[in-house]
Amino acid sequence: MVTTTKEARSPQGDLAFSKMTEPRKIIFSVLKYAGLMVLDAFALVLIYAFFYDGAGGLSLTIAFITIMANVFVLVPSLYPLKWMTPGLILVTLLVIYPIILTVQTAFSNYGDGNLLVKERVVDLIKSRGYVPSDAITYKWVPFRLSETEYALWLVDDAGQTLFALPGQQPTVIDRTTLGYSEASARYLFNPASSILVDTQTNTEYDNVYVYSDGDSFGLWVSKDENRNILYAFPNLAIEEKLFFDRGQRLAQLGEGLAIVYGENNIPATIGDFALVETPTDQAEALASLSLGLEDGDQVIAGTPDSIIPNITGYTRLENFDALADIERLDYIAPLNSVVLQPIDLSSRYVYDPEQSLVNDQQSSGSGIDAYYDVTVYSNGSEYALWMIRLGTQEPSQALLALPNQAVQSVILSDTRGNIPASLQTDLGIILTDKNTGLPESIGDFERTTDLPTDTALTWMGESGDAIKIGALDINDRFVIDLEQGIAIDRVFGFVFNSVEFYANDTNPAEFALWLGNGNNPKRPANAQFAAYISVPNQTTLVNNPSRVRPAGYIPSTYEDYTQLVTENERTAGSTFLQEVSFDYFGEEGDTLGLQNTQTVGRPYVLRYRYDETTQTFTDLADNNKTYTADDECDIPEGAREPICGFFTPASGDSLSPGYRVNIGTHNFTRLVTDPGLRGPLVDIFVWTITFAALSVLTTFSLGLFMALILNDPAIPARRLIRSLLIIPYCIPGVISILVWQGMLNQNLGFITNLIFDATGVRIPWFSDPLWAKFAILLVNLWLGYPYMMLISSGALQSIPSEVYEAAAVDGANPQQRFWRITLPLLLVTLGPLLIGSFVFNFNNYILIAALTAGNPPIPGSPVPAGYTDILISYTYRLAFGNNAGADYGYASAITIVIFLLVAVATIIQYRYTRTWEQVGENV
Amino acid sequence: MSSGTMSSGGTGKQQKSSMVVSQREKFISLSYRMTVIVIAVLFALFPVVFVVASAINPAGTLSTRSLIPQVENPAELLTNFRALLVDELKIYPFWNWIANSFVVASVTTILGVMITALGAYSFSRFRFSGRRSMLLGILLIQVFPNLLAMVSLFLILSQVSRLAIVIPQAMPFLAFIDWNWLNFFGLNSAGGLILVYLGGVMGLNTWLMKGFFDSIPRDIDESAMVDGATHSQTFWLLIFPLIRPILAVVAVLSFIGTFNEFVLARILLRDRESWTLMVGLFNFINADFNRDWGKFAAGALVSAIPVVAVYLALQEQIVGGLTQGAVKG
Repeated sequence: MVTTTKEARSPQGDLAFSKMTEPRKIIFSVLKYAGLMVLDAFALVLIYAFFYDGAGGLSLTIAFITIMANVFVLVPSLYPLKWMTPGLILVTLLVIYPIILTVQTAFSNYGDGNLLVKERVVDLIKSRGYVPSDAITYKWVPFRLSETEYALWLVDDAGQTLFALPGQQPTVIDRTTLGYSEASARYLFNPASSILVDTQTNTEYDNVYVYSDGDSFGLWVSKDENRNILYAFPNLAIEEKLFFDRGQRLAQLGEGLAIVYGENNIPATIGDFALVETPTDQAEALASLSLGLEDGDQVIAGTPDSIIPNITGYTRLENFDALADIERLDYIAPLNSVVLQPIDLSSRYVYDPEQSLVNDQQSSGSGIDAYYDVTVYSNGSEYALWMIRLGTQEPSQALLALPNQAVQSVILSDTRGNIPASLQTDLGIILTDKNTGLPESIGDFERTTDLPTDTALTWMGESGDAIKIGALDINDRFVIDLEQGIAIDRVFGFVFNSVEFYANDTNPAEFALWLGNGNNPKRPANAQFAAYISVPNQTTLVNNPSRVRPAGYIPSTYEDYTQLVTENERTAGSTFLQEVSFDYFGEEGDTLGLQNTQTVGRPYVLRYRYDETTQTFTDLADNNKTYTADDECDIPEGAREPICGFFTPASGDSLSPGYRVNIGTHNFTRLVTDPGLRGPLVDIFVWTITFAALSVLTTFSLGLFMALILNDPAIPARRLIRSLLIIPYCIPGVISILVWQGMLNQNLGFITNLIFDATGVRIPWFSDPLWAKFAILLVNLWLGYPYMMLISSGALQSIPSEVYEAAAVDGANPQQRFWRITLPLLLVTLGPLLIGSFVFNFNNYILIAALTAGNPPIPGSPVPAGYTDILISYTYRLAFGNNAGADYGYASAITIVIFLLVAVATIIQYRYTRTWEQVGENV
Repeated sequence: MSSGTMSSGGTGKQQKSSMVVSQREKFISLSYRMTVIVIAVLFALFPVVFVVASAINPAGTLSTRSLIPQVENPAELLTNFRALLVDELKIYPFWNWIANSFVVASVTTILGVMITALGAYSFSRFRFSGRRSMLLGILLIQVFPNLLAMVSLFLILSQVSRLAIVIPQAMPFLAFIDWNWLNFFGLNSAGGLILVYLGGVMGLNTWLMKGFFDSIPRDIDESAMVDGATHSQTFWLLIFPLIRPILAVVAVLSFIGTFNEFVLARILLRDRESWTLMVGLFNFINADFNRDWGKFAAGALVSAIPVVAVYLALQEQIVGGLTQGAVKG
C-alpha cells in the first residue's frame, strides 16, 4: 500500500514522495521542541514584562496565544490547526484582542482627561511635589552640554549666582571670574570721548550733546539721525522719544524743560540747560555724572573697561624693552607684517611721492581701503593733491587737498551719472574724462609731474587732518608705535589704542599680539571690528571685547555648557526638563522644584499624602485639603455625561488627570438619548446602506462586464488593455480620491470647467447633496471596478470548460450559459469577496473623508453632520472631530453598534455563502 | 448583456460550437466590443492623464486649464519632480517614504500570502470540529471597523515600545541583553505596522484562497497520499504550484492594498521620516491644495510606478490562469 523507498512510482512520473527516515525524524522533533522552548521562554518574558508594566490584558492575551500555539503543535489530533498557527496568533493578538479592548473601552470613560488606570494616576499624583513657602527661590536659565545633559544657572534673591548640575548640590559662582565686567548702571557715559554706551542693547552712541545749567548736566542723544532721541536730565526718568511727533519737532522734554532749537535740529537750550560746546573740557566735572531714577535706566559716568586677554602659553610683557631692536614682525593674514615705527597721529594722511600713494590712517574703519592714488597739480609755487581711491574705475568721489585748506571730498558724478556743474563753478575744476576722474586743471593748478618735497607741502589743514610725506609699503598693513602704545591699520584706516605683546613661554623671541581699541575717542559707532589677537600662525578677530555687560548678564557658555538660544534648543530643553522634572537637579532630599516659568525653589517636597484605605489625597500645600476618589458614576442633573474617575474635593476643582473607571452602559444610552446623534442618524444609516450596495453593484457590474469582454482571445492587445484598465486600481486610493477632488473642484476643477465650457452649467459637485452623492459613487466606481475585473477574470478561468461543453451539447444559448452557469459559478468563488466589498464600503472612511469630508452639511443638525456622511465618518466626527477632545469610550460604543449592524447583515448573507460552498464542492 | 459578451464566457474549446457564426457577425461583434473597450480605457485613464499633465506642468497649480504645459525648455517639465525628489527633501523626505512603503508592502505581502495559504489549505482539506465557526469567525472579524480599533492598536504598540525599558527593570537578570530591537515592533516603525497589517490579512484572503483550493479536485491529494506523500509534501509539491496563479492575484492585491493603506499608517507612524508614501503625500497636499498641486501630482506619479511595475511583472501569472490539464489531473 504505502511504499517507503524513494523509487516509488507515481502517476506524475517525476514526482516522488518519501517518508522521513527514523534518524531524521528524531532530529526534526528535537529541533521542533527546542524551537518551541525558546519561543515559550520569550513569551514568558513578554508576559511578565507586560504584567509588570500594568498591561494586564495584553499579558493575558500573550499567555493565551502561547498556550494555544503549544497545544496546536504538541497535540497530534489538532494537526489541521497547526497549519494556521501563525495566522491565528496574529489574528488573536492584533484583531481579536483589540476588539475585546474596544468592548472594554466602550463601557469606560476612557478619553482625554481619563487616560490612565487608577494605580498609575495615584502614582503620578503621589510623585508630585511643591516648593514650601519658606523655601529658597531662584530665577533659572537652562544650559546644556548635550541632548541629555542639562544644567541650570540660578540667581537667588540676594543676587548670588549658582550653577546646578544633576544630582549635585548647586555651587556658588564667583561672578568676578566670568571674564567680563558688569556695569552698575544701564548707560555708561564716557566724558573723555562723549560716547554713551547702552550696556543692555550693546550699542554705542556718539552723537551725544551735553547740556549744563551751571552745576548739573543733562544729555541729549540723537539716535538714527534724529528720528529718535534719548535724553537724560536730572529728576527725570531716562526716556526715548520720537523726535518728530505728527510732523512737529519735540517742544518740551519735561516740566520746565522747553526746547529752543539751534543748528541742525540740535537744541541750543533745554529749560535752563545750555549746550556745552566742548564737553571734553568739562570731563572732570562730568566724571561724577549720575542721572536717572531707577537701576534700569541709570546713566553714570564711566568708561567701558578694555579687556586685555590672557593667551595660553604666552606671558604678557610688562614693557616693550624686549622689542626694542625689532623693526618688523610677521603674522598670518589679516595682520601680515607689522612694522614697529613711530606714528604721528597729528597728520592724518601719509603721502608717498615715489609711489604716488596716500594713506588715510584715520578713516575710522569705514570698511573700505584707505589707500589713494595721487595726482599732483601745481600753480608754480604751491601744490594741490587729487586723490582717488586705489583701484576705482569711474570714480564718483575724490579727495582734494588745496594749500591751507582742510582735505575735502569732491563728488564727481550726480545722481544721473553726469559731472556736476558745481565742480567748475565752485572749485574751478575742469573735468572732462569721467573714466579716470582726473581734472585737466583745478583753478590755476595744472597737472604736473614735478613731485613735491617735504618742504613744498605748505598747506596744513586743521590738526589731525594734515598730510605728511613718508614712505609707504602696501604690504605693511599694521604700524605699531611702541612709545605711544598705539597701532594703525593702514588698510582700513583704523587706530588701535591698546597694544599688548606676549612672549612665548618656550620661545621668548616669538611674540603674540593684542590690538584693541577700548577707549578710542575717535571710535565710530559702526566700527567693523574691535580687536585682533594674533599668535604666530593664528589670528582671531574679537568682536567688541571691551563691551561692558549689563548687570545680571548671563554668559552664553559656562564650563562647557551653553545657554539655550535658538527656538529649537529651548523647545527641546523645556521638553527634557518637563520629562525629568526639576528634582533632577540638586542632591537627593534637597532637590529643586519648579515654581513657575521663571523661578525654581529648594527644597522640593512631596505635595500629596495618599491614604490607601480611604483612597484620599491630602494636599499639604493647601491647608491639608482632601480629595476623595470618585469611582461611582452618577449623572448630575442636566449634565450629558457622568462625572467620575477623578479625585474630587468637597468643593472646587478635581485633581488632574482623572483615571479610567467602568461607567456601565452609559455610553450606549447616550447614543439613544443624545439629540445630536438621534436626529440625522436615520438619514445617514439609509445612505450608508445605499452607498455600500450601489458601490458593490456598479463596480461588480462594470468589472465583470470588462472581464467577460477581455476573456475573448479575439480581442487584440488584450494584455495591454487589461493593464490600462487596471491602472486606477494601482494608483493609491488616497491619492486617486484627492486627484478626483481636484478635478471636480467647483471653482478650479478641470472636469467642472470642461463641463462648464461645453454646457454652460457649473455642476455643484460638493455643495448639492445629490451631486455630492453622485460624485462619491462615480469616484468609487472608478476606484473599484478594476478589482472586480481582476477577481472576475481570475474566477472565470477557474470554471472548467467541460461545463460549457456539456451545456453546448444540451443546446444552451449564450444568455442561458451566462445566467445559469457563469454567474452562479462566479458567485461561488466571489460571493465572500462581494460581501467583503460591501463591508469595506460600509466603512469606507477614506473615500468620504478625503472626497467630501461628509459635506454638504445637513442644516439644523445640533452636531455637525453631512449629507454624504456614512456611519463611520459620522462616528469619527462625533468622537474625534469635536472640540471637547477625544472620547474613546463613546467612540468605542458607537463602533460596537456599527459592528453589530454589519455583523447581522453578514450572518444573513453567510447563509447563502454556505449553500454556495456546497455547490462549489459538488463541482 | 449582448451576445458578444456572452460568448466570451467560455474558453478556446467552445469555439467549436460557435462555428456557425459568420465572419461578418464576428466582425460586428468585435468592433462593438472594441468601442466599449475604448470608452472604458478613456474613463480609466482620464484622471491619470490629468495627473501626468499636472505633474509635468511647471506652473504647478490646480487652476491650470490646459493639459499641455507651455514650456520653452524641456527641462522645465521636470520642475515639480526636481522640487519633490531633490530640492525640498528637508521639508518632504520623499525617498524615505518610498523606502518605507516598499519595505512594509513587500514584507506584508510575502508573509501574508504564506500565512493565508497555509490557513486556507487547512480549511479546504481538513474537516475538524469548529471549522465552520472559525470560517464564520474570520469573516465576522473582518466586519469590525478597524478605524476605531485604532485606539486599541495604538495602545498595544505603545506598550510594545516600552518593552525595551520595562524588561530590564522587571527582570534585571535579563538586562545583559540589548532589548532595543523590540522597538522595531512598536510605534513609529515599519515592524509594528507590518504586524498590524498581517493581523488583518487572514480574513478575506483566506476565504478567497479556500475557494480556489476547493476548486482543485481532491483526487490530486488523494493520489499523492496513496503514493506516500505527507500533507506538507502534497501542499508544497502539488497544490502550491497549481494555486500559484491565485497566489499571484492575492499577492498583488495584498501589495497594492498595503502600499495604499493610509488610516493605520497615519495613526501608527508619527515621525515625518517614518511615514509611508501615502501618509506623506496626504499631509503634503493637505498643506495647500492649489499651490502644491503640481508637486503632489509628481509624487502621485512616482508612487504609482512601483505598484504598476509589480502588477505588470506578475500579470502573466494572474491572467494566465490554471492550465486546464493540470486541474483535470
